[in-house]
Amino acid sequence: MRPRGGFGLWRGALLTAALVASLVPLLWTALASLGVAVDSAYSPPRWRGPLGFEHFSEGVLSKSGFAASLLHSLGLALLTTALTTLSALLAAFALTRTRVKGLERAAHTLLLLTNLPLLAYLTPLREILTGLKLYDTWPGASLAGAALLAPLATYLLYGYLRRLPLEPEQAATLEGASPGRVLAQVVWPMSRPGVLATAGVVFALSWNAFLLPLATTFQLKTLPVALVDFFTFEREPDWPTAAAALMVALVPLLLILIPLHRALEHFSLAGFGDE
Amino acid sequence: MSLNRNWTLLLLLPLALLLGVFVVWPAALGLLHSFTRVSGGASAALEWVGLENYARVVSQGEFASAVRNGSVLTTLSVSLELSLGLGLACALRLPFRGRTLVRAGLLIPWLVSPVASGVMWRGLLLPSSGLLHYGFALLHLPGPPNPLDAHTALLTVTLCEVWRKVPLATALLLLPGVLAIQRPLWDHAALEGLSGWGHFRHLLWPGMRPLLLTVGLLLTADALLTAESILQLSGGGPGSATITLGLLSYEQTVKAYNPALGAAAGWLLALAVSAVSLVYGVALTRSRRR
Repeated sequence: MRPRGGFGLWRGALLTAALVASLVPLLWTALASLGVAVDSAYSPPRWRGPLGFEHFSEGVLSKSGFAASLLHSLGLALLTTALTTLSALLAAFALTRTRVKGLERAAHTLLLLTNLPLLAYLTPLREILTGLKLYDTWPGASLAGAALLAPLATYLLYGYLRRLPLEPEQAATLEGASPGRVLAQVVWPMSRPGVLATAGVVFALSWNAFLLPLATTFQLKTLPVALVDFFTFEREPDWPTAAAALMVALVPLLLILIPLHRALEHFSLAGFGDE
Repeated sequence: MSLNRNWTLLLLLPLALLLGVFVVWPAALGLLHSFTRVSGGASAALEWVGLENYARVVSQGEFASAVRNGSVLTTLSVSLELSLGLGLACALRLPFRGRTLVRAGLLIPWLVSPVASGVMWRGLLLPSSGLLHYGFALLHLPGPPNPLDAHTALLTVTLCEVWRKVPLATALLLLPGVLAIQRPLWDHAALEGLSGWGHFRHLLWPGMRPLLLTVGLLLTADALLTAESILQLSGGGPGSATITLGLLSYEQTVKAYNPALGAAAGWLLALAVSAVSLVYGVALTRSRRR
């Protein structure tokens, strides 16, 4: 069905305005990172060129610690995503297929934990990690990160797994498969879109996290923490260099945007709004 | 299939261990810290001080500003995010050529981290090379008012948060709900010639009330915690024009290294989030009973 007159116009205008508002700031930043910036001191404003990558090569990547922080961010985000998704998948499977009473409620309580601000326990978390000799280590930072994101991931997967048809699982159980086998050979293949979408969301949130790595790492500095170090509010930023750093932080997420978006189409949070 | 007790507990174990060690334990310590003071140098014993830390947070000059700013920022940003998100979700309901690309494009701002968003908007609002001043100069208008002065800064940081969160509200949260409303109901609404508001009143609100409330809760809790983007964009200033409770807690914990005060501010924030959750929870239960 083609949209009718007035409604179609309204729709087109809204979507165009939203696209422009969403993307123009980022395009402006991308141009600045490539050395194309405007000089508003003149009227009409002049563009400065030329196009080049020197703000990346000489600006950002030469800053001490920036390249390392990129590596740390990538490693920690991948580890965190794996730990989060695995523990959340097991828990969501248990919560949706259990006979134990009261666990259904537990899933709803998880949402409350998602809302507990990290600021309420930032210092104790660092002290506990130090006590466990996990402070500033890859396992420590990724385990703490997984704990922070697991309630949300469990919630997402809970909504997803609840909607899967139960017949294949019942058939496998009747044939004598253990719950472990059912999970690995029946549920996992069917739930892959939901699991990938969850992993994508978790990766993005983990890559972008600031307070958690601030509490759990020191030498293993991640990109958002490095951004705050390099571009403090107190100094006016060197804009092209800052723009290049922002682009470096955004590009890995843009690379997963299309698969992430595909997976999201199969998947919704709507599951936890209704009963 | 249904799992027996042992399997259930085994499958829940990894999550329980993660949450127990890295959330519940530190949170309990954090709560304890907020009622204590470290005393006695080397032995570093904790001394129970009751509500003293809370009293000190509340009596800070910036606390009143933080509460006021937080309320304004939360109310304004959540209502904008919900209405824009719902409008965009409705606009994306019917297929059209390029819809997938448009949807993907609209998701991009959410991928920008709060910290990066703060740095980016600070750059875009710079007089020398920013987008705002370019726009004004292009239209031969006199220079724009400073978007980060004492009167405008709160609005500016709010709008920057809205820029980053609308994609979340649209694509991730509301669109599936809009799509779940059956086609005949939409056709019926169109036949009756309902206005935009009519669509909301008679179609979306009845059909999506639980989802809208849940999304409202998520966005409200998130808005109450706003700190990182402001840290980079305005530093909480000028003066205390854009300070929030989250920023106050961050500054006490990280910059002033006063973890007890930081934890107290953090738990006040947790209290605010819980209060909001409770209100939404009651509304949600009511809407299900109907």
